[in-house]
Amino acid sequence: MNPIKELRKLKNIRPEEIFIKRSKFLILQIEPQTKQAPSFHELIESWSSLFNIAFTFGVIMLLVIATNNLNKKNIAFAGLVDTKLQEEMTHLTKGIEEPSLIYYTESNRAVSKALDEIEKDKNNHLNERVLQNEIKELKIENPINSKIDNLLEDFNE
Amino acid sequence: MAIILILVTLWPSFGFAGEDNKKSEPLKNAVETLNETVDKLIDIKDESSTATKAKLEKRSRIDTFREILKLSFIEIEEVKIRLNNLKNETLKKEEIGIKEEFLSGLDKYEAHVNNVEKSLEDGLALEELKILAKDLKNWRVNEYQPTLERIFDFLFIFQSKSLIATAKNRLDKISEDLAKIKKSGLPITKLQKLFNKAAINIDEASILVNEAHKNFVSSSLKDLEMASDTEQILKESETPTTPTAKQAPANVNSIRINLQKALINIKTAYQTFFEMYSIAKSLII
Repeated sequence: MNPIKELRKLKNIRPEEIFIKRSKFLILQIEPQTKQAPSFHELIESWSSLFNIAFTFGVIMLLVIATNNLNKKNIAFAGLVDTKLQEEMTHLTKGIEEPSLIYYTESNRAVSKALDEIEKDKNNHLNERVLQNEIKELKIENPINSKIDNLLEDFNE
Repeated sequence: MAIILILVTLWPSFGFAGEDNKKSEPLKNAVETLNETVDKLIDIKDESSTATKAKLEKRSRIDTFREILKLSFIEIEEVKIRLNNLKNETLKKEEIGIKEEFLSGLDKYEAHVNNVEKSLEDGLALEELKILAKDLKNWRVNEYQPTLERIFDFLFIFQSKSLIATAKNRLDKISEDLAKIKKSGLPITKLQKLFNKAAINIDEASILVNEAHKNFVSSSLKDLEMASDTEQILKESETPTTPTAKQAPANVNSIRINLQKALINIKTAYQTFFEMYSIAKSLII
């Protein structure tokens, strides 16, 4: 392998088009420094060679900083924005549906039922809430049931 | 930076989801208390007959009735607050008229509930109590509920308008960011396509809400005219005024359907924004 030949090959290496565009874009979007920089011409005249080195170094640094910052912000946003958007989607649905749901349906249903109960004499023996309450009582308060359960378990064993 | 901007602009602020949309605690509590009181009444009714059962049952019926009235007062008060949250400065003349009409209607309903409360005495016979409950039920079905539904539609329209304004604002900001990305030479074909799709959804929502708004205002104005004509006729014939059942206009359903369709469009637009956010993110990382 001829190292000179290989180095010559490397001379022709160019970044991908998308990389150039992205880097250019990132550099252009960096907010300008507030501190007044010395005039470009002054620098060119007196420090041309030094400037070239510093400028190249600066660009690399800016690129590194910009990329780091962007990545950091993105990582933060990846959680924050996604969650926010989801939250807001929920708000959006609730925001519109809530007035009719809360202010109308629930209270209206409760009042209608209550007025029915005041009006009628007897309970419907299949009343859901009564049955639910009874189920609770049967399970928790009636010791006979647990005894029966235990007996059945014994029997099965 | 523009991509950061697009990420930030894809984080919308929902002005509409403010205080108005928080669950109303007093009303929620009143509904819960009423349900518990009804449960007690059901339990007492279910007990086998005893010497005190009839007395207890009647007491429980009166307690339930009182809870219904408490809930009604809270509900009316809260709907009034919601209407008053619509500031007159932001409304057109005819909308202010509709709002005032609703508010004065709610005042009358409050007075009606007050009268029922006065009639509710401990010495009331069971049959009288039942009649009072039946009357209140009829009044709610024929008078109170249709008006309340109209009020909700009215509030729904302004809520939707506020939502569309927020979505449009978001769309404008995203558009500025897209221009910056385009200028940089980064690929935006996908983003642009999605942006156009969201813009169509928001436009569609806007058309639907405007249509619903127009229909609501015109039908309400017709109602108001009819009400004033009826009042005039009654005055001329010197017939005592009695509460009349207000029929919901035929286009009420179309108003609500349009508003719901608008909501779906806005939701779709936000889903697209969400998708755009993912693409914008992948462009940098």
